[in-house]
Amino acid sequence: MNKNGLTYTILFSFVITFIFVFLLALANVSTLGIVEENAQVNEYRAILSAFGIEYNPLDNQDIIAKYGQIQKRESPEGPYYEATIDGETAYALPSTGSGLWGTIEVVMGVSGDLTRFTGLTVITHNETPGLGGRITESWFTDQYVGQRIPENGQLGMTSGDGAGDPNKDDDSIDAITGATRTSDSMKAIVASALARMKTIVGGNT
Amino acid sequence: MSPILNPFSLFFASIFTSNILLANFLGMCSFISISKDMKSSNGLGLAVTFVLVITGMANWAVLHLILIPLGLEYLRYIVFIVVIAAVVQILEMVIDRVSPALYMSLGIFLPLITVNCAILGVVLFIEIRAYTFVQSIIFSLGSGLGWWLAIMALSAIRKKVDKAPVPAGLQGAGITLITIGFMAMAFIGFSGMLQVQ
Amino acid sequence: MSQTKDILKNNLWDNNPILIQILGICSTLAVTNLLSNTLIMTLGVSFVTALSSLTLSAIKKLIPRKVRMIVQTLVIAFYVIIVDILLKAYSPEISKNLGPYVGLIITNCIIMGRAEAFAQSNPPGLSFWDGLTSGLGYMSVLMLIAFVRELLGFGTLFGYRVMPMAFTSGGYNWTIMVMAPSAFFLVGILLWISKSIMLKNETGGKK
Repeated sequence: MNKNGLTYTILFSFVITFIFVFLLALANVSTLGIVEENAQVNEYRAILSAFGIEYNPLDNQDIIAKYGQIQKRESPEGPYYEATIDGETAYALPSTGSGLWGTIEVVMGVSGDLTRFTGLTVITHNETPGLGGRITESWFTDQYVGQRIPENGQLGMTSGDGAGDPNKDDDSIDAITGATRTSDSMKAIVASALARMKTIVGGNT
Repeated sequence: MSPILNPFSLFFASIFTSNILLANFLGMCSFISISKDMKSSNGLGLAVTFVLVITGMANWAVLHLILIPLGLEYLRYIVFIVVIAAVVQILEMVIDRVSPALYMSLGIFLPLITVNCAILGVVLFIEIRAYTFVQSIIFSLGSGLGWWLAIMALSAIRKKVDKAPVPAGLQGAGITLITIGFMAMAFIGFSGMLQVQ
Repeated sequence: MSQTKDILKNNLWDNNPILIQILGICSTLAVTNLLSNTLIMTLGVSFVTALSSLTLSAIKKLIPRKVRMIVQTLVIAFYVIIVDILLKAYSPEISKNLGPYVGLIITNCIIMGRAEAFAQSNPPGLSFWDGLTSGLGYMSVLMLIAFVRELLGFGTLFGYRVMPMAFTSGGYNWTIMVMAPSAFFLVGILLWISKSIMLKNETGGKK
């Protein structure tokens, strides 16, 4: 058969596309379960971290077991989570907002009396890797753990040294170097989540 | 879920502060070789902007109307590339029929565009940031204009640099990259503009 | 045997994809402000270059001339999707960090360049080696850039703190190293150094 003829060209294109797409479909289907489990565990992990509950990050079974102590509740402000840690009630609230490039999705954890943060985790974001993308790094999110919640609900951000602000009783944390806009977005997301949390807790009592 | 973004800040961010070339390094390959000549730079810039807007829209439609409903998102890279190649090909034919004058100035650049990273880059950003149709148009138009602006500015600067005494080892690509570095710094300076929201 | 050695030397230095051919800096330069992201990205590029060269060389006799480019793109996109799927399944954290940059490996000019320039006229084994070493040449330069950027920008290497805290604190931090311009400067300076060395070698050889 003529290699450069029309029939061969069409036949070849068809066969090769079919082979590659088939292999991809195979690869996709065989990893689908793992990807879904990852997404589920990732969500559990984010909620656990927001509550400040310790878990083994490499052990999915441990994460699923620890997640058992958390209750999901519905409210007019959307779903939120409640857990009792060392006898104290704490809440976690998923919240979204716009970053520089796209949606940022976080889970914010607060103590039952709304005086302290118990933690904050970023679930998804589209910020630039190495810049705004650093909102997922532990030095940044650890700043929220135990941080006092300001009276007016506006947690400030100041430029810092890249190690995080160790002072938990002032009303500010360190921003991310080179990512002012992403830091501003985080500030806004946390402020709106706090306002919603106040409505939810206020409605309960 | 689509983000809620101020269309003006998206537009200006994609042209200036997050210029597709100077901040995301996309479309470098043709950028360095073509920027030697100002006239070609202008033609390529126009072509890139044009193709970006059209492929941005076409790929948004393909993604949201075909790939996502059928659950074939994992094939998206292949599909995007095929769509880009097809759009460029169709565009070449249409321009040839409609305006031979435009074809003369734009035509030679079209094949170069299929392999321009900026095009696929913008399409991938649109996909991963879940932009709406309108946001996609704003973002691809802004990115195209930003690329055009950057290549015009660079080719103008290179005209001057060519006459300057540059160390032997730095001539050519070396000094061009350092020039691009300074341009990138200047473009970051535009971030002050974005405070107005 | 000497041929494989020649290819190695050629791709790592004499004809380094970045330093000499200035190819493929498009997609990966953006993540060079952290070593770990750079490592994963350049490993991905090496993997895709090596395997697509191997595949294209193996089927080169079967490809009709008219559809050569599109078949090359198809093969490259295939391997990039494989990398993407593997990262998503086994390393979701990194896949999240890199975002769209994994997909951008497709447009990396090095891969297409090696397929066209080498795999087209060489046997599969050698093509695989050529693709792999091109990827390594690419990796070595980008890792060097990432090393400087992470060290000066964040004071860390692979996330571990090396420089004293005071180095990156207060008003003295090198924000510019974290941001895009520094990558352009560093590539420019590397080009300068390597070209100077080569010019010296050339004049030295002429004596």
